[in-house]
Amino acid sequence: MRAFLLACVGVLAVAFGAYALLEGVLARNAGTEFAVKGSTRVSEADKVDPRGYLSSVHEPAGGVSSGRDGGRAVGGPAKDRGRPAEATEGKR
Amino acid sequence: MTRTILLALLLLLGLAAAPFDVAPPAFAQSSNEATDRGVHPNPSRNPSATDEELMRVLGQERLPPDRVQGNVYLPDRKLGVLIQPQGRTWRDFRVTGTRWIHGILLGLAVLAVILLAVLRGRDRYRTDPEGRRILRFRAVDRFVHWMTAVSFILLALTGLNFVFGRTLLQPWMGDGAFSAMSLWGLSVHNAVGFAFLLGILAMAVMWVQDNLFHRVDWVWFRSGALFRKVHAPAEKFNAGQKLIYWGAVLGGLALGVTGVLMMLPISTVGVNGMQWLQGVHTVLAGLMIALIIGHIYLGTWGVEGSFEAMSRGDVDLHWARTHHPLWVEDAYGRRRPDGRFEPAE
Ligand code: HEM
Repeated sequence: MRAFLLACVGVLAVAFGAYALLEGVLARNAGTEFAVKGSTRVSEADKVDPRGYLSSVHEPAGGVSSGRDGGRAVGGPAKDRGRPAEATEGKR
Repeated sequence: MTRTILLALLLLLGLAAAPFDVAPPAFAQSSNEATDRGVHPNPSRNPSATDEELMRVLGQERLPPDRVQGNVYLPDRKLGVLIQPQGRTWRDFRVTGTRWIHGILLGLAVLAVILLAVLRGRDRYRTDPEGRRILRFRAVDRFVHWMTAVSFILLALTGLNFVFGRTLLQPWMGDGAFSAMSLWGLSVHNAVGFAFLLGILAMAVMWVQDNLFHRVDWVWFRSGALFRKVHAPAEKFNAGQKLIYWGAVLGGLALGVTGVLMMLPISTVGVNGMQWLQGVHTVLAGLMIALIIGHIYLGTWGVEGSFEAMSRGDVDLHWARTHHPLWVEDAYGRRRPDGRFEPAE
């Protein structure tokens, strides 16, 4: 049964390797990447509403986070993660 | 989260399809004004419904049959799909269809195992009188097999949780525990998939030579060896095992490819593509789980002596002669291998 135990270690090793990549690199997938890039493209001048809102729905632009991360600001610095929308506006 | 995304999309959506009786409060009384503010609506799809109208439509139990569309102020238009009609079909499939598919396949697999046990009974064997044993799987074969098996079982359990978890586990586990478990389950499923894929690739390369079909395999099929305890001529793998091999390799590769594509962002294949990937992935997974249930039965209780091939690596000589006569003849008949076996008489 040594082959079996080694196989378990093998599965763990590959899985942890993949997890490191997935949650690190792949989790910042192109969709998130896009959203992060896209949000910096919305410059002040592009804002529809002179009061600083993007549209008639009064939600500050920076409050929109997307992706599979449950709303954490994936792209931002660690100190910004999970902070409310206003706090990250314009930084990403 | 869903609400945030909804709001996010809303604030980026101009609207379409209904009369403009109420002007949206914040933008676009005229397109000039909008352009002045840096918004460039698609002229072929002028907004024709207000934000209020869209909110009202979205709140309805049944959505209108005609398309409600507008402008997306995001460079990536795919992100502007708020509700996709096929999405409803897919949701029905995902929520109800998959349960039926997996339920039926699991039921059939269990039924098949019961039938096999009843019709065929346990396939026992007499041991070689001199206790001779021969090598069947090298350590590296067993390593690859168990790596594939362990990862497959983890994948099957975490995968079935996506299908049945909400109905079977959530009610008695409670929301918090179920949600934590499922989140971890998702990460495990995503990560372990790579170990499985690696195992399948290794198996595909290492065992293909022994799993090519030959004329003798038809004899095995025709003898009805799967349903009766007869021993038809077989090479290293009998025809049934070859089917399992090809099912595992082809099914496993397809599961791997669809699985990895699903981990990648929507932008690779589009929303519709993702729905197809999920459908193919789940149906294949169901078929493979059923196949492997049969395989586990035959590799343990169903055929006595076969589990040793994968645990210790060697098998009883008499077992080998009765179950895989052509292999024994071919591999060990004429020469003396590694001292563990004396040539056949
Ligand atoms: C707990 C689960 C499993 C057990 C107990 C098991 C047991 C076995 C045994 C005893 C053999 C050797 C048969 C012989 O000597 O002829 C075998 C072979 C094999 N196993 Fe498994 N296995 C398991 C899971 C899997 C999984 C998940 C896969 C692939 C996805 C797989 C694929 C194969 C293949 C392709 C072979 C060679 C062909 C065959 O014997 O059918 N096994 N397994």
